[in-house]
Formats: sequence, C-alpha cells, structure tokens
Amino acid sequence: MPKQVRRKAVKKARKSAAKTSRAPKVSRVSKARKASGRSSRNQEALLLVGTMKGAFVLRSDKSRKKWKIEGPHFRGEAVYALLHDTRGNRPRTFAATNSMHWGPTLRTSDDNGATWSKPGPQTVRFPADSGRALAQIWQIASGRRAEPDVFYCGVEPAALFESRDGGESWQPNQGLLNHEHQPKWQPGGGGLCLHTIVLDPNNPRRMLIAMSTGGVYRSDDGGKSWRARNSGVRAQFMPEDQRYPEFGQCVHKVVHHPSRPGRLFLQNHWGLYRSDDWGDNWVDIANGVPSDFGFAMQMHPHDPDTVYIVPIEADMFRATPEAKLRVYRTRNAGASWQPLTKGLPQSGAYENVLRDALTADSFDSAGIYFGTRSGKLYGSSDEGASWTEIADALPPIVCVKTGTAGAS
Amino acid sequence: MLDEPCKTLGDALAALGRKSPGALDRIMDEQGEVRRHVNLFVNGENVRFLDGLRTAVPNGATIFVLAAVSGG
Repeated sequence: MPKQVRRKAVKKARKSAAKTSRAPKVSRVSKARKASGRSSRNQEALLLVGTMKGAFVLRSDKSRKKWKIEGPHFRGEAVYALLHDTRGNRPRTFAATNSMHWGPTLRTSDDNGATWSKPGPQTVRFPADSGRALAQIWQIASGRRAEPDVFYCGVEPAALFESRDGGESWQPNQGLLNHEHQPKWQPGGGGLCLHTIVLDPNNPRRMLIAMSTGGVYRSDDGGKSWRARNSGVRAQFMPEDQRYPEFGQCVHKVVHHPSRPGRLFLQNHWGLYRSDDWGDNWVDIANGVPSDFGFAMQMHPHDPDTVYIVPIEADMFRATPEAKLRVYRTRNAGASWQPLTKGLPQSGAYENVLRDALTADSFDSAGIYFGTRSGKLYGSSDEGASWTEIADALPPIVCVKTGTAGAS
Repeated sequence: MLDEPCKTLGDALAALGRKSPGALDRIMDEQGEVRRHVNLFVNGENVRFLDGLRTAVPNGATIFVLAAVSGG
C-alpha cells in the first residue's frame, strides 16, 4: 500500500473509531429526555411558588444550591396556578391570582416573573347563558410544542378553557361545558375544580382532564366530546355497592411522561393507580406506601418509570403519616415505592402537600421541589436523594412550578 | 366621575364598564352578581339594605366601592 493511501486509511479508521466512542449511549432516560423536548444548558433555574397570600419567584444557577427569593407578587391574593412557558419566540409566565374581594384574574409576565401585568378585564369568563361564573383558575397548561400560542386553563366551577393567541383571549370547551354529566359533578373539599390537563404529544385530537369530583375524562376528537375514564378507580365516600361509578370519583392528580404518553399515573382521594391504555382501565399500584391517600403527584422529567408522591394519612386527618415528612418514589412504574427522607424532618411533622405543590425541573440531574401548607419549601437537586429547606415561613403554599430562563 | 345619565346604580356600573371593563370585572362577576366581599354605597348608604343594583342614583351622587375585609 503506498504511504499516502495507508495514511489516509489510518486517518479514516481513527475518525470512525472516534465517532463510535463519542456516540452517546441511547438509554431509556435520554430517549425520554429527547421526547420531553427540553434542554437545560447555561440556563438560570426558576422556581415559581404560589401561596394563599401571593406568589414568590426564586432564582438560582443550574447547581440549584442557593436561591434568591423575590416577592411576594400579588400581595394578599391566592395564587393557585402558575406556568412558565418557553415555546415559540419568547418566554411567557402566567399567574392565576384570586383576590378574596376583587375576584380571579390571569396575569402575565414577559420578563421571567420580574414584573407582571396589571389586573385587566377578566379574560377567562363563562358565557352568560351557562349561568356560571369563574370562581378560580386551578391550572394553566401549555399546548403542544407545534402550537406555541395554544394554552389551556382548568377552572372552578369545573370547565376547560383554551387560548389560541398566547393567552390573550380564552374560549370555553363546549363539549365539557355542556356535558351530560355536568349537573352531577360535585365540589370536593377545595371546590368543583378542573385541576389536571394531560395532552397526547403525538395525537393532537387526544387529551385528558381530571376534576374533583367528577374524575377523569378523555377526548379523542380534539375536545368535541368527552368520555368518563374511571374504570377501576374507587370512590371511597360512596355507599359500599356504589364505589366504582362511571364518574364522580375525586381524582386529585394525573401525570404521564411524554415519551410514553398512554401510561398514566393517578393519585386519587384514596387510591394510587396506573393505566397503560390512556385511562381505559386503571390498576392499583399502592405497593408499600404508608397511605394511598394524598394530593400531589409528579412525573420524573426524564424517566418514564419514576413518579413522586407525598402520602397523607387520611382525608379525616390531612397530615403526613407518623408525623414524618416523606416523599415516596417509584422507579418501576408503581411495582414498589421507597421513602425519600434525607434532609426532611422525621418527627413532629404534621404537614400536607397539595395537588400542585410538588414539581420537577428539567435539568439533567432532576430537581424535585415541594411546598407545604405550613409554608415550608423544600428542594432536591439530586432527584430526591437529599433535600434542603429553601424557605421555612411562607404563607400556605398551594402551587410550585419550575422554569428556566436565559440562553439555551 | 361619570358624565353619562344614570337612573340606577346598575346604570352607573354599566357606564363604568364601558369606560373601564377591568374595573367592572373586579366589582361583579360575568353573570352580573356583585362579588361577595364587595360593598357598594350610594351617598353613604349600603345598597344591600336599599334596592341593590336598582338603587336610584340621583344627579351628583357619590358611589363608594369598598372591600369588606375578612378572613385570616
């Protein structure tokens, strides 16, 4: 072989070897991360905390060890729903604020939560002929990635609203507004709230919502019609022979991972469930938890088998069992659950964590955060292995959400 | 200051709504119900004990909108 040809061949082989060794292993987790469509390089971490008396915005670098706290914004108003959205050309942050006197409004920030819009005309409003009036916005959700101007709101009394212009104007979903079950939906302890919105990232015609009480409903025709999807989910508060109704369950939260959207996890008012078929059937997964009552449930951002909950002793005693503040995690889709306790008080802790007060961020080593009714805010930057107290005396916390700001 | 002719408190609030829809939304919900913890006074009288939104508003009357602060 002539010298030059041999050199070329060696160079080619080296290049090919280097390419092979550089190629990342495509694990289940990295596939899932790709599906979640987020990147966290060089970004500031944002923590949005909604309380009964205002909202706080916390910022940190990506180590997420030290947080700078700003607020309260909306002093004296309850903030049950927050969202930081980074689709499209600009970030937009939403806060659903509710003044005891002046009612609910939706506020926006286009500078990552530093300044907020003033309360203007009420944009989320029921039609006059519905006879209903907005009591509270419980959930604000981003639409699909391909539609960056689409947002959804879940509200009380139970209804779903949609915006197609970046949150400027909102229309009620008629299929749910006029649903034949609607007159029979009953308020849970927090009111008759539609609190959960789950979109199929692959099928734009499919979405799922959950309400207390009413249960889970799914649409397969772009929101025109909705079918109750509660088979196997119990309603403990009903007479013994009526505990598995078609609808009327008090579902507290439903989560899924976008890489495996048809597999859903559900925290019920008594009961932990999984569905592998978009809610057609639910199976009990309360394996090794101190109580299957609870409110909050959070999907791991990168691993479709990992879910977090905070078990609560009972509906009649809404406090962490055995006075220990424990987050439980499954890493096998509910086959077993383990307590996460490092850095959390393990005596004298009569805490409650509400349905939207447990969340995760999108960094590679996932951050998990939760806030309590007693105003304590905890965070973990190692997927729940260890926790630190970020704030200890905020007003009662009802909502914790994350976001990222800055160049990606 | 409202420069429009108003016979009742309801007329006056409708005029306010035309001028500032956001302000009206703070006082009443989308079904036209005055919010539970908002009190309206015409010339110093709480309209809950008069005719509600049908309370007459004479020319030059003063309308107060007050938050009835309660809770913990």
